[in-house]
Amino acid sequence: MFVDLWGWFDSFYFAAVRAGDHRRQEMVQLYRRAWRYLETDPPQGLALFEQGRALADQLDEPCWRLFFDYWCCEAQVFYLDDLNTGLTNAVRLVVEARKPHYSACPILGRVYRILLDVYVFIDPVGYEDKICETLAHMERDIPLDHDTYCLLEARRVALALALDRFKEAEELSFSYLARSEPSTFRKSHAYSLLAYLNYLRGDFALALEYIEASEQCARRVDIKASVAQGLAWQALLSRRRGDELAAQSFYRQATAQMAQLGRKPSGMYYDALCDYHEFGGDADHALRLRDRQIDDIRGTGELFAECEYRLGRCRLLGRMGQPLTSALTETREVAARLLKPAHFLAKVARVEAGDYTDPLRMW
Amino acid sequence: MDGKRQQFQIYLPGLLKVLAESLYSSKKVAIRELLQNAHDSCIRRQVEHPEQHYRPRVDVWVDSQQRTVTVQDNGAGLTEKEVTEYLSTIGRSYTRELGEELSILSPEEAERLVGQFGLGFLSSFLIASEVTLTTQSAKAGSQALQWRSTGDVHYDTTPVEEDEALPAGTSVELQIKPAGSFILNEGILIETIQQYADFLPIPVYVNGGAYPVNATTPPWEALDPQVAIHDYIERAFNAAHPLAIIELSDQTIDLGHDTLTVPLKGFLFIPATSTISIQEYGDLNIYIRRMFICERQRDLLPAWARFVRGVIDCPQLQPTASREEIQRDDAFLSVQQALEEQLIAGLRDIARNDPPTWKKIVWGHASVMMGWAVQDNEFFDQIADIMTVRTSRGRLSMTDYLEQTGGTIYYVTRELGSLQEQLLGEGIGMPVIDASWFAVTPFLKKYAGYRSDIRLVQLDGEASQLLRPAPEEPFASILNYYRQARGVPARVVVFKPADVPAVIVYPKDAEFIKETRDALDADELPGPFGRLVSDYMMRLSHEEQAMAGTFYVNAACELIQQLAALEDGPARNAALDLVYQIARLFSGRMLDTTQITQAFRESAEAIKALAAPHN
Repeated sequence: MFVDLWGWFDSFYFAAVRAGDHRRQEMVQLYRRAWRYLETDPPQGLALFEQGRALADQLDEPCWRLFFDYWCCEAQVFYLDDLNTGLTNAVRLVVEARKPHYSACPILGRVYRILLDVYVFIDPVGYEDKICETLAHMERDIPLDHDTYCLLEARRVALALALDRFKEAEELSFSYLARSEPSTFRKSHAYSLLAYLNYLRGDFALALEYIEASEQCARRVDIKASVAQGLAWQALLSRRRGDELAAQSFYRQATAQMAQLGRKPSGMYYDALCDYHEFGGDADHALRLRDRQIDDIRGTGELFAECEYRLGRCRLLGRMGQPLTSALTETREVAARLLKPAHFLAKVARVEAGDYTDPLRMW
Repeated sequence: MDGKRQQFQIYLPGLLKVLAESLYSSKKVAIRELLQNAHDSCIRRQVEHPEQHYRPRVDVWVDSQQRTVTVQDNGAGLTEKEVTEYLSTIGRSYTRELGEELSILSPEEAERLVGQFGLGFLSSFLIASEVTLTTQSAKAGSQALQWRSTGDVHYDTTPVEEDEALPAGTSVELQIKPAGSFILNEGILIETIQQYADFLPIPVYVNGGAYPVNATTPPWEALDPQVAIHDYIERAFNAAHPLAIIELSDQTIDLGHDTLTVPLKGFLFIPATSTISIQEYGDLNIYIRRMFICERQRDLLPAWARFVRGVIDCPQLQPTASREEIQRDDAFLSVQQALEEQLIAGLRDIARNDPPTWKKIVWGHASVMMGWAVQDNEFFDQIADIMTVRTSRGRLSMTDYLEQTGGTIYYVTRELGSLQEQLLGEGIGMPVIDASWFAVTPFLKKYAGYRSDIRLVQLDGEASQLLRPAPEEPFASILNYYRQARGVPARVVVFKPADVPAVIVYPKDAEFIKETRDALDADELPGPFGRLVSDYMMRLSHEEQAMAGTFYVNAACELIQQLAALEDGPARNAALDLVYQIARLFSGRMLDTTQITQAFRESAEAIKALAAPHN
């Protein structure tokens, strides 16, 4: 079951234009303005979504109120990296969305999806059963817009990666890519996942091809963070392939691009640059970046990722020959907050036993 | 192969068609162009043949029977050579060339000339099938001349043989074609003249009328500019009683490396508008050297100024070839900057020196102003401190508000009224901001975000911050009654006003938690989402009791002190019940209709018990 979210959006706007209804036009424009700010100034984007929500409330447009509430939540989860607030608001959204007057709102699918997203980001392993059940339910019973339909597959990839099921993650990434065919934005994401998986496998040439495709797509739709991430990975992959000149050039471009954004870099961006420095012989720089990565994520509620980053830091310290005890203790403390920590603690134990190789690289 | 330099070939009939029919979006501009030529001709006569008693004038005649419109001036006229060189050469303009000459010798005279492209005359063919121009140059010994064209590549000139020499000037007669018939209506003709030439200094008469149809003076140059501007706003913008008018003047702007003076005339005004409107304005009527160019121009005013309208006359602006728009060049940017500076200065002046008017402006346009302040950082910087907010003490500017609260913003997101948050805020001597209005909360958040010394306190659900703990012992008897007999989580605190015996404060998320529980109990959440939400609720750390609201008894209240001193008994308990029920109802939250009914019922019971005779 598909819904045409943006068709609904455009029809509403054109109807407002035809009717000379400035306030409803303004409401639609608020979304557009807010969206433009999301990457460069997320608090500003959020403020505009909140403003849109207030206007929708005044105009007694329940679907638009839900629409803006959803975007506020999207801004918190994806651009302000605040999963704590994001979770509360996602629950609020789902509770609100049950009311009968929202039953025909085309944003409903996204409202449900964002709650799923939050759980995938908080603790995919702990909530594995509920996540799988929810994914199946959404595809079966909830009308989805195309982007949501694509993203459900992306969440399956994330789940498979969290569970170290790399073959499955690769198959799902191809499926995600196929679903994303009409969406350049989503294709960029799908290609980046494939690049990541091939990097872990050690196929740097193929990884480079995928990440180039990802960056090109990101450029076409002007998603600056994805462009920066693509450039960072090209820097790493160029270095791994021995093309130092290209590596340094990509590195400069990536950092310059990221500096223009008003949001924190993604985990994949940090991962690329940490490896870039480590393989360039500057492990200290890599460690500083790992520390920053952990600082960025601490307190955001992204528990599983924080565990992974901390583990990455432990392995790096091990490879650098530095003491690990306190880092391992901290990692265990954070992991203890996971719903089912056993899976992760087993990986911690391997590091403690002296295996500093990233196990992801052995699939 | 040797390169060859070649020349473009011009297909004149095609070019004429494009210029005459496609350059302009409105056929009315034919009249504008003729009026402007007539105006420039009169100015040329003043410049080239100064005469002490010369009274420039333009006459327009319309004959609907003959289907002619004639524009006649008593200006400098044209010699045969000038007719050939300027009138009949596309793209060459006598006015522009004279203007260029004068710009060095006499810049003030040059400023008065309007035309420049040498294309305008062609626009006559938008409405005319044939144009006949009769001209007598003011130059001594010139022969009067008639020029006729039907809009193709040919034109005819013939000397005019009259018994008496014609007076200097030019008359252009248009034989109106069917597509231009509208202009044969005298009313439309006058309206068109007023639209384009209202401010031209030379009087324009229609059909020999005794008075000119154009104002000849822009309102800002009238004897009483304030009155004239108000009249003009009512007439031209259909907007009576503007809230404020900001008159414009030349503005020196800072270019970083240098300064530049932008010549600027006109005014900006702020229309009155209803408080629930989000009507967008931010538009200007543009004049260049008093000739109307366009209306509702939306790019010259800053984007945030959508509550402002106005009229400007600026000779630095460059019209496009059709002169229906202005070019986006350096001058445009300078004028933009100059306008923004004058607008901000004007608004600041009003805010500082005329608070009642500023209040009306903010009231009338609060949503637009606050909304834009959130969206536009520069506007925010300019406006943030002078913006007024609705508080429990009436409207206050942010600066005044923060002065009263010592740097903390207390706000509620629900409509003010009998809210206890307002009361409690006032109790500690703090005005509370009503942030229920569109855009206020984002504005306050942005304000606090910009200044690290500002604390932002949302009082909905956080009103307990305004209460001070007090020793329980003196009130042990009434606390026992509430806790044990009534099962109410009661605490003793001190708050002001001391007349208020008690309040109930609910946690911020109490309503949401209640609603979520209800939804889960009723199994209203689809499939697995119910389980995810349920998981969230289980992990939510909240005290079960707190969800029912905490009942705070005011130790400073005389009534509470008296009740605490009384022995346990029906009258005291009835009074305590009444205090509790009043606090419940006053909190205004967390009660459904059944609970409200119950609260009233229990209050009534308490009153009955109080009224009953006691031993």
